[in-house]
Amino acid sequence: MNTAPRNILALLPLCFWTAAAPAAPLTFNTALPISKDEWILREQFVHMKSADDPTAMHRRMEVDGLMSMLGYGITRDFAVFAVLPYTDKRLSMNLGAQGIHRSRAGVGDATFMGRYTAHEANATGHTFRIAPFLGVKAPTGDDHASDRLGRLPPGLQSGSGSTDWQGGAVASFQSLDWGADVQLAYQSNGEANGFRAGAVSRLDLSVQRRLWPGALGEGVPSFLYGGLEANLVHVVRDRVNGAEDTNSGGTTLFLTPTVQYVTRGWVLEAGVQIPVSQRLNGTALKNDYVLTTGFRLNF
Amino acid sequence: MKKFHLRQMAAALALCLPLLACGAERQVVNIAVKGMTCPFCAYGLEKNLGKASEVDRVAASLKQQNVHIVLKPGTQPDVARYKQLIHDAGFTPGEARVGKEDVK
Repeated sequence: MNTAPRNILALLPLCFWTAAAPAAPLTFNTALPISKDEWILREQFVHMKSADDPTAMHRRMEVDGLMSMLGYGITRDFAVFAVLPYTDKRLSMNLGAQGIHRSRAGVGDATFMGRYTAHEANATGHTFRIAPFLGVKAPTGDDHASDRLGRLPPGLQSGSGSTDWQGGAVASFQSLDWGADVQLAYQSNGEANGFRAGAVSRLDLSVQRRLWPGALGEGVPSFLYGGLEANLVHVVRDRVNGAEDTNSGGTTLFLTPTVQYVTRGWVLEAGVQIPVSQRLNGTALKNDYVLTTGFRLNF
Repeated sequence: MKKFHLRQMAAALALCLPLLACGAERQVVNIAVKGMTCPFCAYGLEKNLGKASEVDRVAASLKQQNVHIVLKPGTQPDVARYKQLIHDAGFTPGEARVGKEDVK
């Protein structure tokens, strides 16, 4: 029985490592530039709730996370990123007449990414870029935590214990009035403690529109953007001691309305990922929503 | 003799007052920038151009799609360097115009 919804947690890693540029997507990456020698700090607070349980156990999983991302432009075309998550995961369920609550809070696995701008077309008032990216998630988080019931399942651990690779490509168009991004990404997960999380493939789309100001003034005014994002995420079944977990993996389509306030030095942003379609395997726990708020600083 | 020096100094100060009010004439450079589409990127561009030691102030304009560079008094512009710095910031530099203006 897949008591801890690993497939839901698998959505997190590819979401938060970048989008360092302005009016960039909230839930995935962007090809927009980071200047040479420029640092960008991004902090995202994430609240995820999954309580749609097809079983009688009434599983309920909630995750609060603080994702800290630091980006640096090594050259105009090559930027590197480091992401360190802190998560507080809570799982409750009914086993017979007994209610069970398990939880774990701690620093998770660090992710290191590189992004290279392979194609760029700049014109007056707009830009188009394509950037492949490659990264690795290191097993820096604790994956051996236990409670009075024994060792916590993989989905509740702060760390995975495995080294996971991810890569893909993102294309971005941005004008003064609107922007669009599309991304294809894949994450291959390693094995640790007899458990291998299913590989994650995703296709992401984003459109952002400048809502304010209606007409551009002189200098560099602040912008308010409204956006809509779509994430199609497919997760392969997990493997436990070499055998497939039939109650894991599946395909989810999220729609995410977003709002961003962009100034010269900082960005405030918020969005809520709503699963409009979830075709999950077996009794995998379905997601209710993922709420994301945060800020970015340019220094 | 002492009175004569004091009068000269007072006269010189009086002559300088209008100059102080109007400010000094400085070299300025306007460079078109392609690909600059948002406030966040404009900041990176301004910061990069500030690396040139002779640059006093930089102001990007999203509407005009250019940067306005004001040089320190008595310095000469290095347009090729500014274009390289714009390139390093991730944008494409366009036409550059060098001029002078009164800066307060």
